[in-house]
Amino acid sequence: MKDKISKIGIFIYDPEGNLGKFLSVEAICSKLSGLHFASTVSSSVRDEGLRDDFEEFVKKNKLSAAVIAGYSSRSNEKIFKNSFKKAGLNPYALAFINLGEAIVICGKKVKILDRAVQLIVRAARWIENQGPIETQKILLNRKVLVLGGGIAGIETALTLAGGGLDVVLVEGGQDLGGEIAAIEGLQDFLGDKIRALKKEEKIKIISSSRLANTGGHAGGFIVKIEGKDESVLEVGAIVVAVGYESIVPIEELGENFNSRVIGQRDFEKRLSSNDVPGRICFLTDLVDEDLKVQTQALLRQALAVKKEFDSDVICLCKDLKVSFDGGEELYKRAREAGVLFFKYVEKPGIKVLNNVVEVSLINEDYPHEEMVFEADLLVVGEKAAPRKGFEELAKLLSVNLDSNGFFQEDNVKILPTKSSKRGVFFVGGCRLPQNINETLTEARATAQEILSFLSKGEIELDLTSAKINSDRCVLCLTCVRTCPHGAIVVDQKEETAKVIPISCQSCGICASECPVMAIELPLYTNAKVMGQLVNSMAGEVG
Amino acid sequence: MKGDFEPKITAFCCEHSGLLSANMAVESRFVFSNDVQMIRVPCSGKIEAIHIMKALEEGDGVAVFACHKEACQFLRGNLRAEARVSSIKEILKEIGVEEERVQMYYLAPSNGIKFAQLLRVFYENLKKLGPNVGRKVG
Ligand code: SF4
Ligand code: SF4
Repeated sequence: MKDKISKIGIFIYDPEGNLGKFLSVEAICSKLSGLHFASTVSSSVRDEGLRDDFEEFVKKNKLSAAVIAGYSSRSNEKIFKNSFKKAGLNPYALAFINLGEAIVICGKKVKILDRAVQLIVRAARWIENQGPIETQKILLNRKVLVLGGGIAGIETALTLAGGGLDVVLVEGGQDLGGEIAAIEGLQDFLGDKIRALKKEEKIKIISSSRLANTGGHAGGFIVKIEGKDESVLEVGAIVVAVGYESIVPIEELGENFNSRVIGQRDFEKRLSSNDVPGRICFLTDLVDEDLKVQTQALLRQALAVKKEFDSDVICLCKDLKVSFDGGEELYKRAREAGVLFFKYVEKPGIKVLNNVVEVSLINEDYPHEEMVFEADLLVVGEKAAPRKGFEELAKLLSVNLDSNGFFQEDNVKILPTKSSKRGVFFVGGCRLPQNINETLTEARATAQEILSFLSKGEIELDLTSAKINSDRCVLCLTCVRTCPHGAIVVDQKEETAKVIPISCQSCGICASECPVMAIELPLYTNAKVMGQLVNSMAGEVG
Repeated sequence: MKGDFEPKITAFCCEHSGLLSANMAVESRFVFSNDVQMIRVPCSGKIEAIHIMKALEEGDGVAVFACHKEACQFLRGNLRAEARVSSIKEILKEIGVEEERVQMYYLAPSNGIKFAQLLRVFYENLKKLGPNVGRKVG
């Protein structure tokens, strides 16, 4: 046993001497050697020096595990891991701790020095029995399935093909282009994109079809496409780029929804066919008070009617969301052109009499008097709604929809288009309504992410994923249901639940939910956690 | 006597919020409690009931630091942790241990001040409660 402990080295580094201000590093070392740990202190400032010191320490003491203790939590873990790997040692047998902790957690009863030693000993216990982590080679299929032929799907496909991957683009309808095909002034842009798409040999377009089934995992999904023809393909990644539905908030308008009251998209058609009356009133923010796309469409359309037809244009809104690219500028131009804006708080009253729309509202600045506007046409801001197929698609891909029914990203902070399932991505309006520039940026970023994932053709995976003990598993399916990443499947033949390593993100939720404790997370085994909780650990001080 | 009592706290910190906040609190040298052991977990959903009970057997209080409700890195791990914490509170009531000894806290990823404050308050409360009768002797 003693022999084993001496194989754990404690590497304390204190380049700026900060630690030394609070406690005696030498005293720590002498306490540690009493506990049969090898320890050393490095005060190298540069990374290279630190690395050399560490490598020498490892070699001299024939270490198999080490605790790296610094004064900050931002230790350069990579240096130490690489050195360990280079020496043929297990990089998972390294623990990193911040001795600053000892300074803030000490007191009358426990002195800083004792606390520091305690932290080190605990960390050593954490790694002392850490066995090596196996690896697995996984082949990555270099083909990508893109669902949706709108601008999000098109741009993703083009970027992927440009980077050398094969793409299969599946569109539910007949035509490509999606929502933006109807927008004034974007037809040329879209036309160019579609031409480029059709010319690209690496892209195969399948229209009037949909995804009917999926299996497999990132790097090797098996997907079934149904439509005119049926086909089964293997792809490495799946991009959901289907658009949302834009609908006129009829419920909010009550019975006043008639031909004098139309939605933003219908108005777009009237704009292109020059069918625009002399007095127009726009009304936005009836619902979805957070929708930038609504404000953007409003400003664009208001400016267009004013400039091209010189109509009287009045915009009634609750809040103008101009935080999109060029939003402020667009608003300024609309005002300068003579578009009038009024803010409302309470929902305005709408009446249609003799083909004239009458909108009445209380303006904040003149709260005592009702303002009444007459117009020949009322254009209402549309709200974004999930498409009917979203739920089914989410189920097929075992990913999540948010409370509004849109596809839910895994972590907005990292890469917002990553889904909770590895290898599945969401781009554009299926995640949240957004404008074209945002969609284009998002599509390209996602394609880059996929390129860097699939281009290598294979990866070597560290199997830190959850492991199921098939002898214990009683197939209650709790883990299958609770895994947030769709990483657990049922192996019918072996009668056990099974984790797909590449999909598992090692959160450990399944391990704590399994009623028979059949699941372990290799880096957070039950024994390790319990070991940390026991007070009287051998060799512990304080 | 009570004034001398130093509660021993175990703080389970999820790597995506609690731990980052704890690190920040440490870096900023906020002194938060005299006797607290931080245990790092990949997700608050990984904290098993038995771990919390064990920690209570060895100390006076257990704090679970998880991400905010809608912001769990693993989507629903924090909700699972919450359910577990409330069922443990029920058990504690039954066996006559103050349920306040186990507390769940929600944190943003880098809120060192809040982390320190929450622990401080927890620490003061435990001090008022006095030693844990459920704690293992010896
Ligand atoms: S929760 Fe445990 S017993 Fe149930 S299926 Fe999963 S591994 Fe098997
Ligand atoms: S550790 Fe998390 S991601 Fe992995 S299988 Fe379990 S629940 Fe799923």
